[in-house]
Amino acid sequence: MADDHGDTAGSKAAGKDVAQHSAPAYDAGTAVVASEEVPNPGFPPYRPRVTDLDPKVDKQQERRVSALFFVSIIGSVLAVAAYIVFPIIPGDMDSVRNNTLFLGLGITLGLLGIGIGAVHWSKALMEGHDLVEQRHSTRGSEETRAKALEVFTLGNKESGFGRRTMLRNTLIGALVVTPLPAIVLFRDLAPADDPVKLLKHTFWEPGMRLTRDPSGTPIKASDLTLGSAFQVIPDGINDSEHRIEEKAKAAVLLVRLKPEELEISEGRENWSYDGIVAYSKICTHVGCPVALYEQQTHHLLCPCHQSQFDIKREAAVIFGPAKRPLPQLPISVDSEGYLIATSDFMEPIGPSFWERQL
Amino acid sequence: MATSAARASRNSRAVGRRHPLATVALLLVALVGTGGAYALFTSSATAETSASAEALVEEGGKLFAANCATCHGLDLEGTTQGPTLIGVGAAATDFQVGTGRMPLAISGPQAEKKPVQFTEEQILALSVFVAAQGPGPAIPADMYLTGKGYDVSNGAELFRINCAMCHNVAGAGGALTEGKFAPSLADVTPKHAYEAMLTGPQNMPVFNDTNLSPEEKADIITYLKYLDETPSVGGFTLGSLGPVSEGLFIWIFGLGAIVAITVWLTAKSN
Amino acid sequence: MTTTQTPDAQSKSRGQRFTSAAANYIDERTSISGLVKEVGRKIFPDHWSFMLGEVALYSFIVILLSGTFLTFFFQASMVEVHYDGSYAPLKGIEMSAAMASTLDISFDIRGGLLMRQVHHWAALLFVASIGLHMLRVYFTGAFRKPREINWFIGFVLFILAMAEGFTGYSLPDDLLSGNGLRIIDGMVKGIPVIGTWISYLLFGGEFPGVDIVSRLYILHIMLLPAIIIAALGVHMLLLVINKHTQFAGPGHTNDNVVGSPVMPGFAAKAGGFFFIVFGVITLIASTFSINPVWVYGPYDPSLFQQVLNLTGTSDSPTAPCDLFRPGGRPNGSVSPGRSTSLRRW
Repeated sequence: MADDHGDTAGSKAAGKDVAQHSAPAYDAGTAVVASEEVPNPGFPPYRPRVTDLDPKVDKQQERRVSALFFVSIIGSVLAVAAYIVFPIIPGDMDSVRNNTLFLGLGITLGLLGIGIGAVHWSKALMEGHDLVEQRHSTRGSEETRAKALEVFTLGNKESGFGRRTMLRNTLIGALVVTPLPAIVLFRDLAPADDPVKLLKHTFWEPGMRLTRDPSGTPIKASDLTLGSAFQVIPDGINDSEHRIEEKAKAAVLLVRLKPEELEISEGRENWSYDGIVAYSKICTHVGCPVALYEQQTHHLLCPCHQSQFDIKREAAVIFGPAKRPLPQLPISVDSEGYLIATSDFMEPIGPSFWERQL
Repeated sequence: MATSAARASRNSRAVGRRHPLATVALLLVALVGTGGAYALFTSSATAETSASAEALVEEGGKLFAANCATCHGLDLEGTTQGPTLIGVGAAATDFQVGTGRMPLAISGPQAEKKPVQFTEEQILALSVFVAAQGPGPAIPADMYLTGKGYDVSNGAELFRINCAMCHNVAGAGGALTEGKFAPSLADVTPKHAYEAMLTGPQNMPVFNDTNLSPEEKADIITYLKYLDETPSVGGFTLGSLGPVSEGLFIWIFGLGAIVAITVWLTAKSN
Repeated sequence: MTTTQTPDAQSKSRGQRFTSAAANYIDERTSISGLVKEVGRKIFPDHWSFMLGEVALYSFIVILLSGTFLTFFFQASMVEVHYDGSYAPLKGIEMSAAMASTLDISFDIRGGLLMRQVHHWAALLFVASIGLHMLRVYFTGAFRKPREINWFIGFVLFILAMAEGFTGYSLPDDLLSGNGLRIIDGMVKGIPVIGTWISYLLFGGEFPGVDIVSRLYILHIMLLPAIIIAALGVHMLLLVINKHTQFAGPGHTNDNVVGSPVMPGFAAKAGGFFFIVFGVITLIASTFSINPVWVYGPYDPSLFQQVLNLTGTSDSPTAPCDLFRPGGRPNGSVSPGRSTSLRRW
């Protein structure tokens, strides 16, 4: 057949022939009158099914389809029964499992019975000959197209759409401007504050204690042994009005290394306390919480896109799509020995945004 | 032609002969070594079952010298092959030896769980010996290791906050960097789970008692036991690996089954 | 087709008389006989790969059916509640009403978990079958003239299906969906000039806010399905107008379609196939767990889990990134003082 596609005229002729021969009788597929150029083999002879030849088998298949439909009825009834027989007992997970499983299996049987039965009926018992239909070009006939053109010309003439240019242009202008109020209407999707200001500050304030997530109990410097990792939230965040929004910015990971392992850059000498450092948990890539801490390599891994940060080197990026190190929270201890923040983060936490200048 | 062919075949035979011999020799040495060592340990264990604490330390010392000192040093100060064990305590020793991670089979990204090589008494002796060389976290008290009776919902929350990022929310384990991984927590004994939190084996962070109190650790263990004992309500979990395995399943098995059906559907009937 | 012609109604049985009267009633008010004549014996070629689009259509219908059931119980609200349902490890935990109602559907409504799993598995099959269908169309060249517009509509449907998937995945407000939303938030914030404001408007304030679930819910159950149904209608109409493509074969030419007629063979097969697809989805849903939100727990912006893991076995797994890791990447940190905003995108 691949040859046919190279020769449209030939294949057209062949197509016509085939159509003529197969249209009147279903078993005419063998009769092929190929044109000289393209030897289209035509339809293969119809291979009779067992059900076509043997009335006994035909009857047997009929019973089989009917049995499948009957199975479907049983399945649907079983599903109803399962709904009643396997109720959910509050707190009993086995009952939920059984309810889901048996209800589902009943419905499955009900559906597959109908489906397989109908398909089997179609395949084994319904008329099995291939039929042929002619394709027509999607393009409208010349006559139709001329008519359509005439409609448009008349429309233009009668309305003066093309002639009265001022009318037309002002209409277009008006249509373009009408959606503007709709755009404005969406302004109040969010409150009036400036998002940029919010993004540049977190809940942390100078002197605020570092506390455990979720209990909110303060942490002493002596609580951290080497290799410890604390999930930290600021003191009082659980009672704040926007708890989750604040937590989304203020979450911190607190770890302790040997002081000599830290490579501290200029200006950050007072940001850590005896090897204890605190870093924002919010990834600088797209904001996932970075908390997979390896206590021997001191690497932090982000679970979303596999960015890796090196805590020894001030959370520098050592792998992955993140571009900036995690912001460090400057910490110290208060008179009672509890860890406190000495300021908010020095840069916006989390992913980049347009207004993020420093 | 003929000679060169003969030489080639002789060469190959010679090469082939050396290998099996070497393997056999190696196997013999290994078998004799391990068998002898095993006989030594078992006899020493039976000999001192009724020993007092001091005898326990002494036995632990012998076991240590025979099995651990190569890497950790006779004085526990560590070598280039292994870290110092002074101050790691009984809990760390019990965890590492009790889960079969130590003695190390091969050096790799991290020590893996494998069949335990010592009896419970020997593990105790080793733990007591290591603890005697420098104080460290002790083996936890039984009251925290029941796996029930504690606050399961608090345990679940603490698990999500402190553990799930590496071990997966269902405790199925997860990948770390460069071949390291957080192992699956299914069927980990309460004692080993507790000791792991307490001591932070390998790259796991330490969750000492000021971070997670003993009660909180017991809460977490209760949740782990809940996960172990509760059937999956939705059916097979596909490894509890989340959307990745679900998507893979639908592409391969879901769509695979559907395509198989379409092939049956459009095939000519007999 | 024949039932609409009723010249000799006298000689027929009661049943036949009723059928022809009913057909006559409808045709006199709709002229539907023309449509039946036109479409009733339309030929559809038989090939397994031509059924893939049908799989997508049928899974979409399954999604509509199961989704409707879920809307009767789901609360699209981010009001904080203390969970007090049947699942012990979450008792007393603070979560949104959306999450709590999802747990109630799963644990306290008979068949609720089944419907959730049917809905979710069907959604996966929907997107996967669209993908395979598109591959078939692409590699058989069936997107070429005159079918380019239909290919484009199909592509739009693919995007819409993924949008439906994303909005639906975000609704339960569990740990997984919250982190999915956070990634979207990070991506939106990365859009030059307007990104910050788009994120701010989308979430009704700072991430995550209290509005996003109800907003996505309206998109998920109303706007997106409406557009999908409209686009599907045009997709099918163009399919009928252009007629189906077929593979080369004996008797096949560029100008004919060889296959079985809609009535009755193809209709029986396609109709049966709907029930089979529905049945297979239900079978998977009743035996395989999907999206167990109770294990993930409620959303907390400081928590997540490793999802790209290849573990669970005793072999040492590797984070996928490390497979491609030649030895670390040069330190990517730009000194914060001098980096410009633009550079970071």
